[in-house]
Amino acid sequence: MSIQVAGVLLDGCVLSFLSRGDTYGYILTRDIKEKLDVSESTLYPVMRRLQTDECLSVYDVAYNGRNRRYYKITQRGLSRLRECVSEWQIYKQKIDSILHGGVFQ
Amino acid sequence: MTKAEYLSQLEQKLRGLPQNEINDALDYYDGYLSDAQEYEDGAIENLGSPAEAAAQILADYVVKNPRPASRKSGIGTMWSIILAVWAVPVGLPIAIAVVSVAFSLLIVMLSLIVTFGATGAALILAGIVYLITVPFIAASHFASAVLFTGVAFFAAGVGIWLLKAASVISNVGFGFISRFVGKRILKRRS
Repeated sequence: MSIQVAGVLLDGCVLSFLSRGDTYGYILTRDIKEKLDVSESTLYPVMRRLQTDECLSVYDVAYNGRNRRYYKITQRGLSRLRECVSEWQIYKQKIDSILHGGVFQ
Repeated sequence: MTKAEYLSQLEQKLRGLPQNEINDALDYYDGYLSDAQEYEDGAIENLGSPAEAAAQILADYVVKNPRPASRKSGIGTMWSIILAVWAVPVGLPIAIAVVSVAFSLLIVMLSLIVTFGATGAALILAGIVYLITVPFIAASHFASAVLFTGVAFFAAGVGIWLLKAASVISNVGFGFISRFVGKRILKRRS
């Protein structure tokens, strides 16, 4: 059994990676996949949604005769990330208190 | 599969989406695969099928752009359910039974609405007529005038209440009938 990370939480994870520096789709996906069990196809809609919400901006850098699209976190993205971090704290405590309140402390 | 094949399959699966959504997705996967091929062997095989990628994009699009909700009154829902059932040949005998029952319920409901509505309207009218007569008899029979005023308001009050009841019946009734039809059919299907 594995716990699926989705929705707001996955948005937060993407924003968190990008808050450390701009990067392009492949590297971002690879870094997230190192830690989480998500597929590439899950991440594209997440990036697109964050872009529509103006949490990310994009810019192209010429590389090897093509353009590489970099993602950059915006101010709005940073505040979304902050919200996500504090909400996760609350959520985590709730889940902890339930799970550790059972027979398996 | 080559990158071009992957992208053309993806494009095919995304058909129906707005062109800019399709272009953005193709751009993204084009760039992604170009990078992936520099970092790993078998990048395209590792990526998963175009169908999988398309499914995620479509699902996300549907969630973001829900179809406008149908009208709140049960009438629209009822018709769409009835039409859907008639469209399926297997369900025809069931459809006939369900639709007949729904139709008789509809008739019962309509007659209730008409009865309540007509009685209500008549009582309100009677109340108005009573009220008009009051000034004419007030001089000669004061007690009767007071009684008539009372009766007039009472009749009009009951009349308004009955009209309300008629509208409640129509709202609840249409909802009930559409739920009835829906439930019968869903039960058979599942």
